[in-house]
Amino acid sequence: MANKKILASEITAEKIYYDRRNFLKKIGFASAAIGFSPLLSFANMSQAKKIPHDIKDSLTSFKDVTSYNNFYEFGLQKSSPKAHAHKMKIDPWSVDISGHIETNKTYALEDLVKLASLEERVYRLRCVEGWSMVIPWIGFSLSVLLKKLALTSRAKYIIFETLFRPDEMEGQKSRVLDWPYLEALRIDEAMHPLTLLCFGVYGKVLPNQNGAPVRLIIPWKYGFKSIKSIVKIKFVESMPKTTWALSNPNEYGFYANVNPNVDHPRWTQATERRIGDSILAKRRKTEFLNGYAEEVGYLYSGLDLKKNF
Amino acid sequence: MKLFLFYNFCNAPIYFILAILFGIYYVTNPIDYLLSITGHAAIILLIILLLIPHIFFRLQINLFFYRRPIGLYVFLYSFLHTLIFFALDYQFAWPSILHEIKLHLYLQLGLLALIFLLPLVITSNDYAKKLLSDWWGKLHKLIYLVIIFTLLHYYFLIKLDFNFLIMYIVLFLILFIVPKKNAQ
Repeated sequence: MANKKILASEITAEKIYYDRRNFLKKIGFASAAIGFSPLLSFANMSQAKKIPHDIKDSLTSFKDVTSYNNFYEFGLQKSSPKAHAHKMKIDPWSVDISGHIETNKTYALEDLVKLASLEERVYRLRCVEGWSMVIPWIGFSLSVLLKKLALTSRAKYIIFETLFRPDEMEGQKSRVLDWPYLEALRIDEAMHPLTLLCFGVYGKVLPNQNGAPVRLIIPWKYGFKSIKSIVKIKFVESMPKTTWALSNPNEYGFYANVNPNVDHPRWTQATERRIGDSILAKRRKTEFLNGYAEEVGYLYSGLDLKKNF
Repeated sequence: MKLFLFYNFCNAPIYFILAILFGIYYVTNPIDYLLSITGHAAIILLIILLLIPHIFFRLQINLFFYRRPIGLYVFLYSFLHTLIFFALDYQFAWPSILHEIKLHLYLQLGLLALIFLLPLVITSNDYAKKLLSDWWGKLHKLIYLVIIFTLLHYYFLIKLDFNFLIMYIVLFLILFIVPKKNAQ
């Protein structure tokens, strides 16, 4: 027993060892081990390529990003989503795509996430309520997906729909909004490289309260345009009615571009409070198109933004 | 003992405010939170204020002594509410503040409520009460105007969550409609 021979075949060859390491890395061993969605464990969020940016403000803390949320499907308080979103089942998940395309398509989440390599992009987020954050999202441009679909010439707008499952999303039991939540973009807005199909945040897969497992981030529009937990995408010809515009057409428009010159009856849009700033800090000036005017301003040339708010 | 409990009850929101200001209690959006605490405190104390005559005529428990301090606390929280907006939220940047007031109906209504509260505070002492004699009671009917402006102020700033507002309206309506037995 004392000198049990070790067979040469029992020793793991170096090459196999490294292959194994790589394999574990590839399947996102780390994120699987700490208990995040097994579905997205294949996408290794922490390996996402960091895209350079010129935002000098510090990032909003992970705690604030994941505990101060508007996701009315889980209740009306800012703390409701974190308290209740764990009941939403996100495995399995797929996204149905229909409307003015050559053939309808359904993407399983695990296929969707593999369409392109993941990028970490730091964006400003401006809520219509007058507060803002700076958040490192993970995903890739929505245009990657759109380019894989054969749109017909009648596809002028794109509609997104959030999961409707009142048993798991208790806020949907009350009719404060017309569920399921709908958001939409013009095709050129959707094709803009800044429009992000988002799967993660802060190096991890999205927590449920942040819109897991797949959401949109449109950094130059008020936060409510960045729809969460997407299950359906549809291409249509005429401008669709979106949830908030339906709920209160005088206050919420289709475009919802961040614009300090167009006020809202409830909240000032001239300035904003940055989450994480000291209680003694000044409100910050809100920038036109949330500071992304150089990139996306051309989309709205010739459009009266006071009328098309 | 009774007074100790009473004042601690009325001060409770202040303890919260201090805990937030000194970083003992963490909230993500502290200014919003402070505005919300002080606003709700003022409304809830207003409801308690109107409850006192009902308690007397129905239960024969005399709490009239507490009306003056409660009224002053209503003003204190309304004042703090406004001060937080002016001082913390807008850092006394008057051009911005005036601009906001001009644009937003809920701010105008809130200020009106505070303004109508002022004469009530000024005449809350024994001297003014004696001086005004019969007029005092009439003047203090202004509190109903304060309630209406306060509820409208709240209504015009709510996005989706009307639960508290509905609760407050129902409570005020009950207090108005239910007759105070023996009331003159």
